[in-house]
Amino acid sequence: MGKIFSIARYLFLESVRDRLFIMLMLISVIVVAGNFALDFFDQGIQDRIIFDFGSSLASLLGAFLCLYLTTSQIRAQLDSKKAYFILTSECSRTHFIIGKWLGAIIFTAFNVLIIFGEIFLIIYFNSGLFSRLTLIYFYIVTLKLSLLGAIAAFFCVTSSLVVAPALSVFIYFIGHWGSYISYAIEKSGGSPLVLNISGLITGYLLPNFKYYTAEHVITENFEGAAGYLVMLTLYTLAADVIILGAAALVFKKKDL
Amino acid sequence: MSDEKFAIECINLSKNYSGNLNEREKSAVKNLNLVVKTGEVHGFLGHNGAGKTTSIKMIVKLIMPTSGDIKIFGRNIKNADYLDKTAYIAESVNFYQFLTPAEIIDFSISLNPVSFAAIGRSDLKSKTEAALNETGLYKWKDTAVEKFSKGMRQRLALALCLLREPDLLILDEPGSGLDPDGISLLLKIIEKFKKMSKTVFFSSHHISEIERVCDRVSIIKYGELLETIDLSDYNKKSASVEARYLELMKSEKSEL
Repeated sequence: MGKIFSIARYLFLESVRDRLFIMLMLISVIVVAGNFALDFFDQGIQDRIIFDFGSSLASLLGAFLCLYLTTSQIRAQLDSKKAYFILTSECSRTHFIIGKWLGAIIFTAFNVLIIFGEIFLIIYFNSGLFSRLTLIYFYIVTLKLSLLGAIAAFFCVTSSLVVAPALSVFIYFIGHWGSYISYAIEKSGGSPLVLNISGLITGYLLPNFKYYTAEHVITENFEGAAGYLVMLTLYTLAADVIILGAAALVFKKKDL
Repeated sequence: MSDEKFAIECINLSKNYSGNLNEREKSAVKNLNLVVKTGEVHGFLGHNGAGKTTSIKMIVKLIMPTSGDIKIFGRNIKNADYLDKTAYIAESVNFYQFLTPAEIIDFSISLNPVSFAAIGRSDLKSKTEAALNETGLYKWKDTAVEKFSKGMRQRLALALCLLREPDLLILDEPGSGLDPDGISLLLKIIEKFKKMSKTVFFSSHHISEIERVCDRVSIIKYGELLETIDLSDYNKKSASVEARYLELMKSEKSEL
C-alpha cells in the first residue's frame, strides 16, 4: 500500500505545480464567484441557480481534469518512457495503475472540493442556509469521477493517447444517456432483440452514470439519502475494482 | 552482493513483433543465450536495430519475451511482479518535470524499500548529498527537473543508482546525451560498482568505453548473439575489440 500512496502523493504534488491546472481552477473559481452578483432573483431561486450552475461546472471540470490527468499520467507517461522510473523499481504494474488512478482522483476531488466549498460559502453568506445538498453532491461527484477515472485508466493501458480519452468520453455519454438510446431504437421500430441487447449493455454491462445525480437525493428528501449513498458507494467501489482489475490484468502482459 | 554465480541468464530468448497488414512478423531477438556473471562488467555491442534495447527491456520486464526464459540471480522472472535490487537506466531518461531531484530521490526511496532497507535515515541524508555532489547536481537539488538538459537527467539517474547501490545495474546506451565530463563520470561510476563487486550490464556503440571498463563483451547482430569476448584474453594478446567487432559484422551475411 505504501508504494500506491507514494505514487498517488507524487502525482498530486506534480499536478498542483502544473500551471495549466492552476489557471483552470482560478478561472472556475472566478466564474462561480460571479454568481454572487445574481441579486435580481428571489432568494430561493438565486440559491438554486448558484447550486445548479456551480455543481454543473464542478462536475464538468472534474470530468475534464480526471480524463486529462489519467491520460497524461498513464498513457502519455508510458509513451514518453517517464513511467519507466516507477515500472523498473520494486513496484508492480498493478501498483502503478492503482497509484496513478488514486492520485488522479485525489487531485480531481481536491479541485472539485474547492468549487463546492465556494458554492457552499456563497449560499451560506447569501441566505444563511447550511447547504447539506452541496456537501452530499460533492461526494456523489467524487464517486462518479472515480468511476470515470477507472474507465480512463483501463483505456489508457489498452489503447493510444487519442483513443483512450475518446473512448472514455463515449462510455461516459452512454452511461448518462443510455436510456435515450433504447428509447430511440424503440421509436425507430427496432426489433425487440436489438432493444434487449441495447438495454442489457447500457443498463447492466456498462457503468450507469445516471445514478450520480442530485435528483436522487432530493427525491429521497434527505431521509433516504444515507441509504442511497451507501448503495452508490458500494456500486462505485465494485465497478472500480472490476475495471481497475481488468486494466491491471491487461497491463501486466503489455509490452512497453 | 548475491551469492548466485550468474546475475543474468537468458535462455533461448526470442521476441517477435507481429507485422501490420502486409508486413510479415519481425523477429527482433532470436534464441539469445546470454550469461552475465555476478560481479562482472559486461558490455553489449551491436549495430542500430541489432536487438540490444529489446533484449535489455525483456531483462527488466518492460516487454514480454515471445519464448525463452530469463533468470536474474538464479530466479526466473517470468512470474515475478518486479525485480528487486536491480536498477535500469534507459537510453533517454525522463523524470517527472515538476519534481526536484531531492523529491525524485525521496520518491525512489519510497518505491524501492528493499534496496534502501539497509540504509539508516541519517545515513540516507548524507548519502543523498554525496550522490548529488558526485554527479554535480547538488546545487540543482531544489530545481524542478523541467529545467534540466538531457545530460543532467542522465546524471540524476546515475545519482539514483549511486544511492541505491543495486546488485545489478543495467544501462541502455548510457553515454548518449552525456558530455565528455558526463561520460568520464559514468565510467567512474561503473568502475566504482566493479570495485564493490556489483554486476553491471550495459549496451553501447562506443567500443572505447567498453574496452575501458568491461570484463566481457557480447556482440549481437540482427537479434542473434555472435560471440562473447573475454577482454582479459584480448588484453593479453593485445588484440582489438574493434577489429573483431568489424570482422564479425562483415563476415556474417547481412540481412535487411
